Amino acid sequence: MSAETQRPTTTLPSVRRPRLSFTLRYRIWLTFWLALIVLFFSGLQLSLGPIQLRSIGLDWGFIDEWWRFISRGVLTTIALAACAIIGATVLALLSALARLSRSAPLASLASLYISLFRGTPLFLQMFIVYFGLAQVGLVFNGFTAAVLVLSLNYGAYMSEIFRAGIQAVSRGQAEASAALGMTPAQTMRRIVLPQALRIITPDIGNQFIAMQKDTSLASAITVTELAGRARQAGSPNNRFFEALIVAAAWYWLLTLIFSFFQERLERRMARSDR
Amino acid sequence: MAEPILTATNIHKRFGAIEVLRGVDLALDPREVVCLIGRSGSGKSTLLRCINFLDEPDEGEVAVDGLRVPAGEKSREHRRQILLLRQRVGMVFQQFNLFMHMTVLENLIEAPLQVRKLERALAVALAEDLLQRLGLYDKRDVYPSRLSGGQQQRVAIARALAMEPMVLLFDEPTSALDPELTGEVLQTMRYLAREGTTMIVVTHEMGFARDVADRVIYIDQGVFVEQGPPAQLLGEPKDERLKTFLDHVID
Repeated sequence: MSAETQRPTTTLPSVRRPRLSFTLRYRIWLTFWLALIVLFFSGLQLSLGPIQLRSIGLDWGFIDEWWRFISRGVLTTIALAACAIIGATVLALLSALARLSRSAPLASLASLYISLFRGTPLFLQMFIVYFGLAQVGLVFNGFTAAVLVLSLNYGAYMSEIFRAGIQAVSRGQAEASAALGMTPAQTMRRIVLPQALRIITPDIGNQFIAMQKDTSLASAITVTELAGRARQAGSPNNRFFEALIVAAAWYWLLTLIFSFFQERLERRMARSDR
Repeated sequence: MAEPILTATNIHKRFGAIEVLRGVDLALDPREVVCLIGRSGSGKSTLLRCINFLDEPDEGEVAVDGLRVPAGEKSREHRRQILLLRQRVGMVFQQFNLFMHMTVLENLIEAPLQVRKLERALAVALAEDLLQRLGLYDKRDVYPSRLSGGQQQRVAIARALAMEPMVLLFDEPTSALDPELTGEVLQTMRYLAREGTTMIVVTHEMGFARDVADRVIYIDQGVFVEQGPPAQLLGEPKDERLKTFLDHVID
């Protein structure tokens, strides 16, 4: 009894030491790593005693001369990605619904589609559609073939994401909807899909980001997008590093922009839920 | 004698090799409150789900207000009949099953808008009136995740009522609730009974059955073993299995 009235005050060790917030320290370190990368490409030389450190010197003249040529591919890259995103989403939704339906022909067809396009390399699929189909008389231009392949391939991956999202919405809600007299179509459209879409948005966003970069494979079938132009510029002048870095910088920038908007969308969705 | 408002005739239901319902007959009068009691696996929930065809019976027929729906058919007409049946027979689930992406009000007006094709203003007015009567009006713009279990279940009851059904089915409505929350739901159900709602309630709440039910039915292994007014069935059970069952149920 008496011991409880007198309690000595002690500060907790180590946990409560005042320091800069994690966010601030994070940003400082991020700046530091970026600075290191810049230094790496700056061309500076350092000698520490017997050790010679040489950073990579880029041919900035080349970059100055060619960056516009390379950058003209960005619009094609964006166009490829935009078209393929639409195509893939439509395919993904349709095949997910088919896979979950009670129709045996539809469900089996969807499963086969998903298996085939997830089971073969995207690179190979590009060649099959562009060169292989031409051999049997079905000819597409490079851009169309690339959009077709990207849609089919990413549609297959995204289909599984859609399916998982749909199944994640509790069966009980679908039952309640049915018990109220709503048709299966109404249940899917009004109850299941809206919630499923909220669940899968982060995953789908990541797929889109990956797709933006896989558009570079279109360069293998004569599409002059970003990666293709970078190789065209770098090859005759033997400045691969410089040319490809320009392209890489663009891909990175596109990804950053997309991620920014994705995050904002996610935050807005979360707000309207709770 | 009034015509029964709902009849289920010769209901058989098998799940794989197990026969859960073995030829059950039930006739419900208007304004009657029937409580179904029994052990888990006895078929009571299955019977409820067969009545509104959430589970399709293997044999038998359900009739509500002149609409007769036989079991086992596969036609488009059959599916249409089931949708019509479900407009007349509402259901309240053990897990509430509210639409989590909609507010309370939106939950209530969804089916009237989609199924009965009501004007939005009318649907909203009816919904708000219901919420007032159940004491939930101040929650109308709230999302289900912010409500307690008891409140969610009461919203679920309101949602079912919004379709103005002739019969309400309750599938263990308080079994998923913490004890202190069951009271508010049972109170709502008592209110509905007093107002003349025709109800079939699957429940373990014997107090509710004793106070509110017009008839209590004990079901075991897919068959109605005994049925009668609550005072008789609960107070002077005849069947041995029923006696054992009642001894084990905590009141």
